[in-house]
Amino acid sequence: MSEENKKAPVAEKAAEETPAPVDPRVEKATTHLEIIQGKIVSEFGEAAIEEAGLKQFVPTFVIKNELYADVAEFLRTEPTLLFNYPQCMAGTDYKDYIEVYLKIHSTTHGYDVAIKARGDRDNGSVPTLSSVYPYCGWEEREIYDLLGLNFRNHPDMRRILLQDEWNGHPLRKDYVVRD
Amino acid sequence: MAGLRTEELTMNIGPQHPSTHGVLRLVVKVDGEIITDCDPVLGYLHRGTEKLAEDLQYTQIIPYTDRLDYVGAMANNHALVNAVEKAMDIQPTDRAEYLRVINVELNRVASHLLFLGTYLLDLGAMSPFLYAFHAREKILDLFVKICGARLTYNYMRIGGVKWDAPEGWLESVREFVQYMRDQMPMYDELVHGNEIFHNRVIGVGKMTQEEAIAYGMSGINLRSTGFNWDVRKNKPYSVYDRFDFDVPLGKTGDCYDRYWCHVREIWESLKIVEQALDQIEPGPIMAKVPKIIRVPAGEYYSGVEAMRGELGVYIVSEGKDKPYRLKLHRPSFINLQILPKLLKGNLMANMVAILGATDIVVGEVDA
Amino acid sequence: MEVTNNQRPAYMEFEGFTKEENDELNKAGVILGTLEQIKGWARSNSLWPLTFATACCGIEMMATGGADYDFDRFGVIFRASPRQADCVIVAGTITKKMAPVVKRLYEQMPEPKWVIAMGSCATAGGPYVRAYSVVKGVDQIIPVDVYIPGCPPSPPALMYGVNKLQEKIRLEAKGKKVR
Repeated sequence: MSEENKKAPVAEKAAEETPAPVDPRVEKATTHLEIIQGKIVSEFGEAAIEEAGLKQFVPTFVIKNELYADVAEFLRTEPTLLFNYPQCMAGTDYKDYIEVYLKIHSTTHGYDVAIKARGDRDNGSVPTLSSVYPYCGWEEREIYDLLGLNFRNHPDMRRILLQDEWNGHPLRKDYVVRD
Repeated sequence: MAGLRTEELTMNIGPQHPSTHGVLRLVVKVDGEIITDCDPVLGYLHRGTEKLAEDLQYTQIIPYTDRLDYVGAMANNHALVNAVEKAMDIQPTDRAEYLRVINVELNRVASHLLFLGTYLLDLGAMSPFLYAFHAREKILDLFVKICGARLTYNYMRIGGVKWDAPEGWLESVREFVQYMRDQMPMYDELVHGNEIFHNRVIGVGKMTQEEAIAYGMSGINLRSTGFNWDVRKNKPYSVYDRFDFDVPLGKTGDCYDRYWCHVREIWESLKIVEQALDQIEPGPIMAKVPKIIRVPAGEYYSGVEAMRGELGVYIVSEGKDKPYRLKLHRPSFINLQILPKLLKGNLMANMVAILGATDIVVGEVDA
Repeated sequence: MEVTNNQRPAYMEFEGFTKEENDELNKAGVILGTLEQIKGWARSNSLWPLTFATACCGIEMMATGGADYDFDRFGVIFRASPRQADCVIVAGTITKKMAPVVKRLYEQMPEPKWVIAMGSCATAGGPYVRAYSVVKGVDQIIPVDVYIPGCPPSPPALMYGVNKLQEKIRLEAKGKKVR
């Protein structure tokens, strides 16, 4: 079990800092990352990807807000990629923005990829992915309920876990529990 | 009859109902006996586990994971512990891995028995409930001997398990496996050829593979459509690659296929337990882990095959001993999403059959 | 959410009489006293609870109703409708969304009725006491007669709690106050 640099947050930084032999899993994942990045950039342009890196051997891309749904549709339908099986969707509250994370798997090719998008904390919104993957319908409602991030063009944007009259969004870091 | 004015009725199948398997509310619009629309209302058991987890150390979150899918608590423990171990690159000891597998598979048998009992009770058969719970009590006795609790075990720790098997425990597990193998044909006989049962579940609530995959379903609901996806085989974790077992698949995704997959999975789990009993060796049950668990900064996701699907844990860590964000990918929540689609155009009586076959546990739907 | 802690007063009330007449009758002694005791004996030996299971404690309640820890031998048969139930065993966490439902179910039950709070979530909020959406004990909504601690309480503990309620019913029938 090699100890060096299992989690390489950005692939380029890893090559500079550790000249020691790289874990084969990191190598394989870096190749995938470059292939997928190339395809997305050739379809949507350089500006589509804001950040790219490896998080625990999964190529992770931060996609520009407006192109989020289009990139997801492209990843699902492109014949060499075919990412059709969504595995996890989560929202996280950072200091300046709220980030949506979706991890998808390709059942034909066996790769994983994760795409993220960022929205503002106040009245921010992200395009909905429920037209691409029906799985995202309820997950997006949960993110709206607990974090307050809107999803544009969602067919049914309302709270799912808390009462409709609830004030506030509990999973935010500045939420105060009132009783 | 053509001149009669009929209206659509909005009915509430309320949070307190014997057959909703917990506090789930369905607002259905019915036209006569046919359901035209269905809107599940969730959140009656939303306890804020994810928010609480941001204030707790990783080991302190383990009891909360017990209470998500309270019928299969061992697998929930395993999900969290596996995620943290993969993130920190900790390898548990061999004996701990085998003890984990034995307990998770025994818990799978108990959970599937509970499914059989309650599903058949929903459909109107009273006796299988009593038989299933009687067999389940034997499994819970084994759990009491090893970790002291019947339902919420809090058994696994990061790096291993908390308690070793006491004297004679492994032999009693072996006896139980033999007992269960003798009893299963009797449970099968109770309902298998029953015409009423067949009429109620065959062809009811069909799904296609593409639908199931697009909805992100996992577990028996996905395998009943014929798609071979078992996290234990496709993304092996722990020591599952050392066992030889089959993955039961259905054909059409209807309620009968799901019922049949549950029954077959009990047989397969007994196979795994027997092989684990043959392979387990004496040894330490806890690896060397730091006193305070600090996951390095980054994002990690890993899933295990829980009783109802793939239970995934997504950790965003800043390097502290408490997670910045802990998201639980809960299979019951996701499997429930397809329900309005399945119920449209179906009879009211089929609603009970389809909802039961989806095998949800509301603690996991709401978290 | 108003915090009420009303315990129902534990003296016998005869229907249709004023308070002064009730006091007279309470001193009545042999015949009416024995009648009350017979009623108490009958009610305690045939408690029909409402199936009200929210969370994990519900599974233990089902296990108690199963073949190994038979509940039926105490005369306890679970009824689905509150109109036909004597008591309600509140098993599981009560969230703020569920609270009005509990209150409505309790009001739909006919007199005489009793409440057993099973498990630590129903007693005082349990492990979820710091959560934003949990009611800290069901006695904030309805008056409770017996509390059963445990997480979850094992079936023998639940049976002990039900036996305690049966004792309470019989003692109250004799006119003694039970807190």
